[in-house]
Order: sequence, then C-alpha cells, then structure tokens
Amino acid sequence: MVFGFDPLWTSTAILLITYALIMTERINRAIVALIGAGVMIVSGVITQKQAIAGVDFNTLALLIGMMLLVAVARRSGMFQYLAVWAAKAGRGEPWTVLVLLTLVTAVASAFLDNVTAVLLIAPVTLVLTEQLKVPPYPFLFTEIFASNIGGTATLIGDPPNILIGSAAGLTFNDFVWHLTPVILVVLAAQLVVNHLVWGRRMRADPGARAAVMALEPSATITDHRLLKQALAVFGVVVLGFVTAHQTGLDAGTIALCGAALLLLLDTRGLPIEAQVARINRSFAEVDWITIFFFVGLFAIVAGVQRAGLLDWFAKEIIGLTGGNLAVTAVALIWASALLSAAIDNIPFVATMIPVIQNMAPSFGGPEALLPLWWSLSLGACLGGNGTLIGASANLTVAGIAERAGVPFRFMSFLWYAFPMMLMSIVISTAYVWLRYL
Amino acid sequence: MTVGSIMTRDPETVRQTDTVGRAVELLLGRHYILLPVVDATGRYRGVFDIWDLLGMLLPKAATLDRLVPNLRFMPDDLPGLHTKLEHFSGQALQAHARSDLPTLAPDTPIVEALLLFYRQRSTLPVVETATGQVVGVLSYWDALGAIAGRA
Repeated sequence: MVFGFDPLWTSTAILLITYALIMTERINRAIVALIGAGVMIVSGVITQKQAIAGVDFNTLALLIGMMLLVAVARRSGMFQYLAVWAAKAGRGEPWTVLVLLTLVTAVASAFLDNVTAVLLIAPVTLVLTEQLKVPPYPFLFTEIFASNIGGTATLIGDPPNILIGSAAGLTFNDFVWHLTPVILVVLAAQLVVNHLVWGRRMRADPGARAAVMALEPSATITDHRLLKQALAVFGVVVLGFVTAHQTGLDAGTIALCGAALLLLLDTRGLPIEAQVARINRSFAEVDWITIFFFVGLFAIVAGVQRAGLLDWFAKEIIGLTGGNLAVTAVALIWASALLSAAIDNIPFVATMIPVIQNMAPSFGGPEALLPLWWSLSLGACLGGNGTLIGASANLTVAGIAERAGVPFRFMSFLWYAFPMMLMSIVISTAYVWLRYL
Repeated sequence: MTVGSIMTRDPETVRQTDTVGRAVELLLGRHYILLPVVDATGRYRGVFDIWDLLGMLLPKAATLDRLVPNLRFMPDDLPGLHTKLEHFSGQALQAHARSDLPTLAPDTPIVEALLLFYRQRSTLPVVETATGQVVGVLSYWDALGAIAGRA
C-alpha cells in the first residue's frame, strides 16, 4: 500500500494522467514524463533505484549517438546534395522528381530520425518546387509518408523500433530482414496511389525544367573533408550494426562510438577553445526533449510494470483473443495503427513492450513473440501517417510548409492520409499473416 | 538625450495602397534602409525595408531559419530575378509590409534605442504613442554620430 492506496491504482492513475497531459500538448512532454516519473517514486510505487533500473540506456545511447552523427554530418551539405541531385536526376519532370525525393527521404529516414530527415529534405523541396513552378503540397505530403514508412524499415529509423529492438534483443539485421520487404511494398503502393491522385496531372513548363536542369548539386557540398569523414564514419557505424550479432556489441555502443569518432575527426587540430565551441554546437543539436521524455517514460512504465498493471493487461488481451497468436498479432497491428494516428506512438510502444513480454508464457516463450514485435512496429510506425498529429515528422513538415505559405490543414491531410494509412496497414497485416502466422 | 532630439524628422512614408514598385523606387533611388508604411489617416501600420525586398527575390523556404544552408546550387539567373521583381512591382504594399519591427517613441532613452539597434540590426521608425503618427526615423548612424559628438 502507498499512502493508503493500492500501488496498482496509484501507478495506473499516474500513467493515465501522464498520457492525458501528453495528448493535450499544453505542457512539454519531457516535463510531463519527468514529473510522472517523480510522482511514481515519491508516492512509493517504485524506488529511485528501481526507476533508474527501468531506464533503457541502450536506447538513449543509440538516440544520442545518431543525433550527434547527423548534427556533425549535416554541416557538410550531404543531405542537401541528395535532394538537389534527385531533382536533376529526374530531369525536371515533376513526377519523377517527386519519386526520387520520396526515395531519398525514405532512405534517409531509415538511417536518421524521421524529423531530422524531413528537416533536411522538405526546405530544399520547397525551393525545387518553386523552381519547377508546381504545387509543393503533393511533394511534402509524400515526403511525410516516406519518412514514416522508411523509418519503419530499420532498427534505427524510428524511436518505436529502437525501443522494441532494445527490449526484445532484436538486431539491425533482424529489422532489415523482417521489415524492409513489406516496407518496400508499402512505399511502392503509396507512390502508385499518389500518382493517381496527383502525379498524372503534374506538368512543368520547359523553362522551369531548364531551370532545374541548370542546378549544380555538387555546389551544395560546403565541406568536402567533413563529407568524406562523415561518410566513412556512417559506413563504419552501419557495418557495426550489421555485424552486431557477431561482435556482441549493442547498438547504443556502436552509435555513441561512431559519434565520438566523428566529433574527434571534426575537431582534430583545433585549439582547445575552438574544440569546445564546436562540440557544444553539436551537442546543442541533440533533441534533449526526446531524450528526457524517454527517461521519464521508462521510469513510469517501470512503475506500472512493478505494480502489476501490465501483467494484468497482458492476461486480459490473451483472454480476449483466446490465446490465439494470429488474432493477437492482427489485433495488435490494427490497435497500434489506430492509436498511433491519434496519440504519440512512443509512450504507447513503451507501455506495450512489457505487455507483450508478459504474454511470452502463454505463447510458448520469447521466441514465439516475433510476429507480435513486427506487428507492434508496423502498426505504431505506419499508423503515424494517419493524421497530421500522428507523428512528429508530420507536424514538422506542416510547420515549415505553413511558414512558406503552403497551407497544411488537419482535415485536408486526413482526407488523403487516413485511407492511405489504412492501405499500408492492410498490406502489413497480409504480410505478417502470410509470413509468420 | 532622447530619440526625439536626434531623429530625422518627417521622414518619407509610403501608404499601404502604394505599390511595391513605388517602394523599390524610393529604397533604391534614395538609398533608404526602411520605409514606414501608413494607412489613409497617416497612422503607422508597419515597415517595408530592404530586407523585405531581398526576401521577395529569394525562394521563400530559403528565408526560414537557415533551413536551406545555401543556394550555391542554383544557376546565375539575373533575368529570372528581374522578372520576379517585375512580378511583385504592381502588388500593393499592404500584403508585404510587416509590423513585427519594434518602434521607438520621441521620448525613448537613447540607450534603449541602442539596444534595439543591436538586436534588430536596422534603422527604426519613431512613432508618437498617443496618435500613432510617424514623426521620424532613427538610424544607428544618427545615434552613434550623436554619441561621438559629430551630430
């Protein structure tokens, strides 16, 4: 008993209030999560030691490491190069340019945080569409989808995958092997629909196309030395992820070591004061709100886990699905998608991970949970495409677009996005069903 | 020393209904940094300055928070820029004037004016608080000249 209250009810109330406050967006989510974690400890549901034990430092290290890598690498101009290259390679044909920009965004999102990817690609897209004299909305809309779809393909592409991979012991290769095939199909299907909706009507006049063909991608590279260093370190980090099973290294170690190496190369030969200034600049680009949000969230989930709520929830789900793995997987993918379209998918996934882990005995051990992990990942990541508030990348693009004079309204986005999101979930359900159930 | 004692009085203003082309003539012809924009009653409504003009010639996204690191990849296209300027010339200033630049009042202390110059990097309009009328402009040259005893 905690202050005369049952810890189960206390922790459930803290979780629900935290969720509600996150959804209202009146208070920053990092503050909400940290206060929730604090209340969990102060109310005696868990001790500080148990809260710290609940924090997944591998996830934090992976997030911080990748954010630092991008913070340094972006200064070379490499991401802007890719976007301008796509426009030129598309020979100024709007639909071809859109497809190439979509692919660039998807690939970038598979290796970078989705918000970072769209922050790098969307502004250049606006410049390119202005040159082409075509409406930017279809391009930005498709890039939002591409960022959320591409991010689903790898361990490091989207925070829910980082959480799932770390908790379930799934490697970079596991994600590529199990999720990339369906992601390619989802991406292709989405492009087909976008072509039917917008692509077939896209035209650019010869003058605008000539202006795009006159673009010089190589001029975007501002620091060739840094570009080479960043590409080399990215290569080493990806190799580290691919060989993680053999080396026994966790993803967090690989990402942080890569970040430290790139910071070392970037500051080599500089006086110590200049090193401090440059490193401070890179550290300032880490999204500390997300990092501290995770810290608070991990402690809250540790509280409800310890109080027995998640074990109870897992048993209820097993009861509802009759202990049938196939029904559980399908229910999980659809529930994750619909909820993630409305609420932040990170707290949802953080809560569902221990719920799924608690189902292991009913399904014959942790190995049998694989379809559930992929269902959770596909539902939570792709569900974010359903509404304008479904994922951070959506709001980031909408914010940039609005400021550039391109209206991005909730209902008009929903009108096209929600059916497309449902299509991606139908494809994912078929994939999970055919491959695993 | 207050702003009123060193400002340039009765500055050239433009109306909201004037065209961008008229503002461009004044900015380029007289090397002004900034033009106060007023309504039909002469009340201050905002400014149109040389930075607004530069922004109109750039891709819109490139003017947002350095999200586009550079435009070195774009071709040298003077005729294109000229066409863009022509395109805006006939438009009314109302759509392009901005009201986010702080204003000074005649009784504003000079040190406050220095702080605003430091933060805004711009000449500032001087507006009579009670009437909303533009009574002057003050540039950093005027302020620094007065401080250095050259006014």
